[in-house]
Amino acid sequence: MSDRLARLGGIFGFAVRRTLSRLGGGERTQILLSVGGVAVAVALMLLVTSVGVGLSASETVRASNADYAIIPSGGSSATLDVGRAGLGGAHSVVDDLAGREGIASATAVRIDSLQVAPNATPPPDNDSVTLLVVGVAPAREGGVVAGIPTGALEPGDPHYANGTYEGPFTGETVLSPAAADRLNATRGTTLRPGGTSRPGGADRTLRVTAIRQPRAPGVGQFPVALVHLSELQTLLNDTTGDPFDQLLVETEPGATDVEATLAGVYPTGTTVVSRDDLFAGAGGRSRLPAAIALAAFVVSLVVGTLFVITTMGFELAADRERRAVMRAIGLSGASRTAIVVVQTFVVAVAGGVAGIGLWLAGIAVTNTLAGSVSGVPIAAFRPVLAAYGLGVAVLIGLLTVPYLLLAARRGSTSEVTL
Amino acid sequence: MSGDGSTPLVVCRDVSRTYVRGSGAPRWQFWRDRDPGPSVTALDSVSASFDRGELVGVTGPSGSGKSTLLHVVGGLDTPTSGSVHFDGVDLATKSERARARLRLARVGFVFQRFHLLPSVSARANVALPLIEEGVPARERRKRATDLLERVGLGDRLEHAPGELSGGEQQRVAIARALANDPDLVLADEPTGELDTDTGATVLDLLADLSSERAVVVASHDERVVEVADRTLRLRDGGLISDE
Repeated sequence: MSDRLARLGGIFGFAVRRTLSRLGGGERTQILLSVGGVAVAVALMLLVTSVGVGLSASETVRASNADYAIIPSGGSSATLDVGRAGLGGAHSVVDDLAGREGIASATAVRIDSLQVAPNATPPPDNDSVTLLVVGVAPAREGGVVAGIPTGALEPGDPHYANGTYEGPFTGETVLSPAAADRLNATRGTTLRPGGTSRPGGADRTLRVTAIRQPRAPGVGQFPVALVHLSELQTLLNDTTGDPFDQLLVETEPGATDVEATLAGVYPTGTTVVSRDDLFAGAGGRSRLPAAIALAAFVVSLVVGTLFVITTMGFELAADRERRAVMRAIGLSGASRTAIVVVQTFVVAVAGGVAGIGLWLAGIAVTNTLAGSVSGVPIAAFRPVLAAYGLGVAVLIGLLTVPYLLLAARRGSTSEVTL
Repeated sequence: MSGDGSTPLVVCRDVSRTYVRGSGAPRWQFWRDRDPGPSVTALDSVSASFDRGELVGVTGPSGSGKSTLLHVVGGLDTPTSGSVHFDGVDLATKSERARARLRLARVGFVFQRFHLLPSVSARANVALPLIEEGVPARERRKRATDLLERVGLGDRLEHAPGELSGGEQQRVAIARALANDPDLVLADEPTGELDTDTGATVLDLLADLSSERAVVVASHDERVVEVADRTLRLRDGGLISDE
């Protein structure tokens, strides 16, 4: 038994040393190609997954400092499904939740599209643009909604005035750079929203109080304007029932059972989505990043496996004479097979490690490019993805081994002239 | 170990080896003609014996069957007809696995082009058969070091084959052949790639080894005849003299 262990350990160590020294030695072309193939496949998969994760982070919850969101059941991404206020009683629900145990803050959000002109002339005119307007009652301590910091808006929602909508209309708006660019607006610019997106919309003006870079990829990269919730409702002439789209909830550290509390706010017709759900692509809202990641996984596995099969196949053919020598000096078929298997896994793992390096470089390049175009990084770094990449590399090795063993078996070493 | 001391280590009786060149259509192309191609007789009814303590030379022109005879004697190949008994055991009755074990434990091969693994050190090359034998790592290193010192390469332990001269590489190959202290060493054209002086050194080394084991050297090199105790001369696969 100890002989057997010594043999297994010896064969394993020999194969690892031989493969590694070949990687660094003179006859490394084929093996380096194999490692490079796995590395590129793994790096591309991780990069696509990183972008997917980055895009999932652009969902409203991820692009805010919220831990949970209450959304209407069956709704798709609220950031895309504008003009649909599915929930009611925004301010009373927020007041109610603010006093609950474990809840740090609750923010009602309304998202709609609105035509806005950069002057006093009501749109539509030639200069008007359509903005994604996010209505929010900002917390005193500030926060981030749709990737945009709310700090430049007056805290609370003064125009609401206990449901009378007779409080002061602040007209404050925070623009994303894309919106400011489209409107050619700067801080202090007066904007004229078209109260025409809904019949009877109020004829008011807005004043740009700040232009803020989005803190997360996603909706904030588009022309977005943050305004107070009640003022958006007024502009849209849609104040009945205090409608809104989703409720963002930030919990206190260590809070438990918050999800059950939130589920009870609207007993039917809503879904409570956690940050983790969104990250995992669950909750029915963030399936796109998961689908992208799955597609990247499958493509990477297929491409990586085919690449290793091809290059290692050539390598096996070139190595036939040496396997014939091993046979001549008495190495058993099992040992020769083990050497091929170990060599394949060493190549796969080396490819995985190199792929992780390429992935990190790819994130840097992608985010630099994305930053220069849209101002925000789009590829997210998650350490767990490195382990994922390494796992996929091992899987590529696992899928490659049967073919290589078949190829080694077919290329009989007994016919080699030594 | 020899059964009774009087029986030669290896006995070949009427050994023939025929190869078929090409085999017609692949097996899956069942509709095509599968007539076998022309056959080539590499060995033709050769009878010979090899015993410990002697160095046997095998000479003859290219294609005379020298390499085939060595492969058959060492259990690397099996005869088409006739028999090869190694220490009383008919190799034809043994599986490939059993013959691999026999080669590992009792036969050492030395090749014309050395056939060392280029990506590992001289010591790792010598230790390779010991790995298969299940020898622990520390013992492997010690034995490989001793063998390399024995062939005069104690200062080349960590050198890769590419860093060694042809003569040094062949000595590493001889050390590898001796790793498991075999009863039989088979050397196929061991001086074919070496200059005259280096070739003579290698032949002397092989002659030294024959004091305690059987050494068979196949070669065009007439100097083999000078150092050999006995020489088999082959032509067209047949044995024309054994003297």
